[in-house]
Amino acid sequence: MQTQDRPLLDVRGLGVDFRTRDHERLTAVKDVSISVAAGGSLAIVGESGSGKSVSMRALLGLLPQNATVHGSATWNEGTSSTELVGLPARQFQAIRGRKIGMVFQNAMQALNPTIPLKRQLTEHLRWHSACTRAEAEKRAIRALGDVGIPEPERRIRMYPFQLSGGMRQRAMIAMALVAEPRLLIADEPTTAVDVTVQKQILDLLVDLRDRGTAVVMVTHDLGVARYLCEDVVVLYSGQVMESARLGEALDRPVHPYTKGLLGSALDLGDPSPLRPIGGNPPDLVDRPPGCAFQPRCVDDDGARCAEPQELITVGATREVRCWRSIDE
Amino acid sequence: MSEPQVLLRAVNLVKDFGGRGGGTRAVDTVSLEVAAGETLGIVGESGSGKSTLARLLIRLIEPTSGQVFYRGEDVLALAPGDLRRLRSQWQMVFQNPFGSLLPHISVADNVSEPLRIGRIGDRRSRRARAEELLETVGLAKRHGDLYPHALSGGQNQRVAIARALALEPELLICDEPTSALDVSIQAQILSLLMGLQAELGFSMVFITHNLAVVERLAGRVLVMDRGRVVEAGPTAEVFGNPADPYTRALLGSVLPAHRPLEGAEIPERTSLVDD
Repeated sequence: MQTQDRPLLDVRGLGVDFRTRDHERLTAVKDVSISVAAGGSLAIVGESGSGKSVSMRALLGLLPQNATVHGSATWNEGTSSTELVGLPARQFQAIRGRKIGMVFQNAMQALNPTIPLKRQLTEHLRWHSACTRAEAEKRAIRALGDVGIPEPERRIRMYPFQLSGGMRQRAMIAMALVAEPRLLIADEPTTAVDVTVQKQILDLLVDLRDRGTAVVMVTHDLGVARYLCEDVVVLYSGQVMESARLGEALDRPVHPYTKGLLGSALDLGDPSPLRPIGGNPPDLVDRPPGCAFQPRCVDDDGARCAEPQELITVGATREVRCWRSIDE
Repeated sequence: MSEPQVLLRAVNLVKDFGGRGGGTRAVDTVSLEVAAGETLGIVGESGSGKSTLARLLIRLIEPTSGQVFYRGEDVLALAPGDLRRLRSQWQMVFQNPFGSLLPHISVADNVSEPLRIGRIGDRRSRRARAEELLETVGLAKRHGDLYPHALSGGQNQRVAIARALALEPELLICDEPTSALDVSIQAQILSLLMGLQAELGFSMVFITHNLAVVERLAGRVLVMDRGRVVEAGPTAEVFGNPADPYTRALLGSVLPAHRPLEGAEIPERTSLVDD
């Protein structure tokens, strides 16, 4: 079961448009290509509105009716290959939750408050693998134990509100892991929890990654990305601005936006002055015609930045959407 | 000792919240001082009592026991009129700017609301002051005519700061003012607050769970856990040489963005980036 030539998930030119109420077309994701190898770990970073969550939801067929998805996303396992874009809902059920697990930001909203954990953790397991009720419960208890929930036999009978925030987030992860997916997509799973709990949850994901589950981590926190992931894709205004090995991108950022994100990130014991990015994240309805980042870019030089920017390959493993990177 | 003047002093503050089967001691015997012009950081996780403590300091809620002195005056013994006079010196900036601004009045009216309540100036002078304040926090005059829903989270937080500055307060209580914002906007708001403090000289009590923010902003820090102060002192000392295990756990959970966390290097694997 080693890595084949094809990555586990291969996304090519993914785009998402929304029809808004005033009949405007809002482009949330534009020409995004990413790939995740079996056992790989990818961070998708960017600010709110950068298209991080929308692109993940598009891959999972979870967008509302007013969204149009184009491009391609293939799920490759062994010799079989499934196109996820446009996949009928029934066939999606064989992949979503089973092959690709999901963890969302707000565990209180993602869990059903009126149902005890047990049913929420076993329901999809019974649906997916058609195992017996007793077997499903055993696996669910094991999953809760695996994510570090003490006394899983007792906790599995509780309702979400009876658990603390960190515990609920772990229960969510357990729910995603019960079916033993090959890829886990975690969308800001630690944004709403305390730092010590965040560390516990990330250690859990690190452990999972080390045991061979591929992880896609959506986050705006570069510290979180750095802790967990090997590769990074920086999104801005629904476009890939820079994609590279994570260490490479954060130690020697090339795109001005990546530099800006790093300049905005505060570290303990780091006396370097704060260098915030000026301005605000872009309006997706009224996009600048050229580089999406131009209005906030400290290196804006007018003419060349006013043209649409292509992704430029820099070195062996890096792509950057900025004409300046040609010199790198 | 040439200690700077103490602005605010709290002595043995306790706050119990009632409830079925006992109740909770949210703040447990906390004492602190804030000097004129300084920033005191309060860190701790959710439920540690940080926000309750802040509300006790400016008497937004009444303590179960303990005392608060502002420039030597016993805040808890003040008559309503006197309290109101002092309150103009204390302002708060909250976490969620959408929730703390009034949605049905314009940005300029939000900013000048404290002036209106304090019966300071007339409509026109208040409007002029609001526009001046908007410029101070890096917004344009034209933003004054908009309503909060038309602005982004970061812009609204600037409006909330402008409103807090309207009465030229001596003490600004900031309760997680950047936690709901994007990283790039967080950095903008932090440098704004630091610049304004240098210019205007107000004291700050800065509540956050982000230790790196406290390190930048606060000369002294108070670490809270379950209502108690587990450690307090100059930030550099507390963070450089934490005595309490809880402080150590907090510091150990901070994930650096600029360099790998020691001992957590990710082993190199076969290339995952596509060919």
